[in-house]
Amino acid sequence: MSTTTDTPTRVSHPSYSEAFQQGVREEMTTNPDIFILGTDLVERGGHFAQVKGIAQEFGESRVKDSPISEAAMVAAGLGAAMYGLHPIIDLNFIDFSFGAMDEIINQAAKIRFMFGQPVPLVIRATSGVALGGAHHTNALEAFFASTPGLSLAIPSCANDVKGLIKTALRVPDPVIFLMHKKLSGVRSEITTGHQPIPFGKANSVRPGKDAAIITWSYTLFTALKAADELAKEGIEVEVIDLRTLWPLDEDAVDAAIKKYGRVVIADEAPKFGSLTAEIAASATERCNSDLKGPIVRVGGVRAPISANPRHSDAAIPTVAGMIEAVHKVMKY
Amino acid sequence: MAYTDLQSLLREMLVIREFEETADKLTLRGKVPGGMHNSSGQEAVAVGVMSALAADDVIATTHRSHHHTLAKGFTPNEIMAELFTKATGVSKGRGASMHLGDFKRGHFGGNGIVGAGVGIAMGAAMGIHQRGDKNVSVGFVGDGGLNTGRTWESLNMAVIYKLPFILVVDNNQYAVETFVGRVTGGNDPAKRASGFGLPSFNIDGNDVLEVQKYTAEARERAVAGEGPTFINALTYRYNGHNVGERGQYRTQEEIADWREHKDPIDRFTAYLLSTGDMSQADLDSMKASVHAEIEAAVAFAESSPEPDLSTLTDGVDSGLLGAK
Amino acid sequence: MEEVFVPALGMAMDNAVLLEWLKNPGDPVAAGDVIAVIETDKTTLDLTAETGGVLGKHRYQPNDEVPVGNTISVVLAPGEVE
Repeated sequence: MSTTTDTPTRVSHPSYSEAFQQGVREEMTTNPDIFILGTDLVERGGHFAQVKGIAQEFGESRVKDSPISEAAMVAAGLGAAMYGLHPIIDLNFIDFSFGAMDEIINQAAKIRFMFGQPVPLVIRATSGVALGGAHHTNALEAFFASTPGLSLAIPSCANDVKGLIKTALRVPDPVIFLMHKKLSGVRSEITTGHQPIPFGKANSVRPGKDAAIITWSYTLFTALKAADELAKEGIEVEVIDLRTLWPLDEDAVDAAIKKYGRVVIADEAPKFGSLTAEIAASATERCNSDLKGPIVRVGGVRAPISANPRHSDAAIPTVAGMIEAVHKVMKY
Repeated sequence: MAYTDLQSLLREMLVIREFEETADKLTLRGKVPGGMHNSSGQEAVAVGVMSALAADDVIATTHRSHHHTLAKGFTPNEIMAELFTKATGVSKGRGASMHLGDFKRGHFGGNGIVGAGVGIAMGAAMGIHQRGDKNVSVGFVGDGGLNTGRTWESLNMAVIYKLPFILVVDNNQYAVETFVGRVTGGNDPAKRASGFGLPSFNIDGNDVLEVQKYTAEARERAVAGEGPTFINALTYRYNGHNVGERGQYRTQEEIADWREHKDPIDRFTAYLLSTGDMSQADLDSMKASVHAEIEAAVAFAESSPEPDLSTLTDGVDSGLLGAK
Repeated sequence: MEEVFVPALGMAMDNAVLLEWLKNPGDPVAAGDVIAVIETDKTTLDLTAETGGVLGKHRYQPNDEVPVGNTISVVLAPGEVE
């Protein structure tokens, strides 16, 4: 048996990766300053097909194949952004950002504060736990979100990918744009058309009556499965997708606390030092009197991610773990 | 692997080829979590280098490292089991294809980060140098790693401290789907390296004896305290970057040309038959024994247990500082 | 007997969706014929026969999710039965 690829898709809703293509195409059409630099973009369309066909449509001056030179890639984007362009630097896996961390943290994040110069720069990469082992599964969200000067988008579905990348390409600030590997092929409806989606606005994905799970990215789907199971017991859990981690929709967090008093925050990063801690602590400072008991956090284990599938699945929040956390807040 | 004679070089190349082609099929069948990077076509680089090293010399390598690891003397059983992420794998099932290694045997790991193995190997060379050991350390990098800073930072350091270090570019000409000449200024790796002030060579990476000779000479210089050597071994990868990659970035004619006219195994086989170092009967029995060895490795991997879930967080640190 | 299966093509690919069958059970199949179309996380993919023969049973239906590595049908050589 052999296989051949056949580019045109035969299904109506776009995949998560195709939604990125859509958003970028639309913005590139109206903004000639946008260009993309990364490895294997022109022919391959990126490792997750996220820019497939864009080089063919817009030319290789606007989609450039890069050497594997992360520091220079981000430096190129940074300098070009300061010069007035709006580059997308595609780092492929966010793990590869370590090679460019000076350019991201010491330069891009601080230029506006230090010199008053805008840095319209998008750094796109895949993130999240999947197969592939410990060098391709680092969780850096807390580091980026806690760095003043950076914003962080982390969409869970095609619609949000499209709307958030459109916004990222309209603001004169550096944005880290993280797309979960396991979601690349997931198809879902584009509900907001050509509209950009603002950063800092959470999305309630499932309504509830008793408690809320606040989460983002792939963990959202674990939360939704847990909510389905809990509904069978008569516990109705609202599931909230934060969509961006900076800016953070604190109003949505506070509203969930005020409505239910019982809140779980979940993410797949190792629990110690995860953003779940920051979100829970700051929300508690604001709304302690509205909580019926402590916010319960669900997170990953403190270990690098094994290449073994059972082990990598067990290293991140499970449906059972999520249900257990909700049971815990329901006892308050 | 003991490289006792010329036939043993050929046998190891056959082991690698059969291992890779077998593992490739199993990967398509979903048996190799996360997939793998096939090194078919690059056997002579691995066997040429390893056959010139001492058993306790150090290597550190790349994301594409099955061939280096097998040639270093690791068994098909422990590597196949690792690809299956089984407890009996060389990295206990935690590493899969990309993270093979066993430091006790001088293998400082495959790597998911381009160029990282160069730095690690250079550091090992610094260790060897500090201790005054008569060993060398070899860092492998692909052509893609010719353009990452850490490769050259590490090489420079090896030069200034005269470290017993050999940088081998396992140059299969494509960084994933990108031709080396498109993204490498000058596209003459040895010329680029020579600017750092060390012996630098572009060699035929599909000629196992040439690779062996250049490595042996580099090793002699290193052990004699004369410092590092840069070797760019030109070779070719027959398969995609990863199993399943079927990009249109190179022509079928180009692949066929390398397979049919420049194949390292075919070339060395013809050489051994022509010199009388090997008979056709030797070759036939060698192929049969290699086939049996790889079949046994698959059976071993299939029947091996998964790592126990209770080991999920074992060994993150020593525990000596009191972390629970 | 040639097994027609969903290949594992990437590090994040667990399943593919069977989009359509282009050959039915009992149809003659030549080497290179497209038997079915699947959708992976990146693209649609034609699954083609490497050998000739007659197609066996459909083991999945359109829109089914098929785990990677799973066989969706077989190509039977003359005289072979499923």
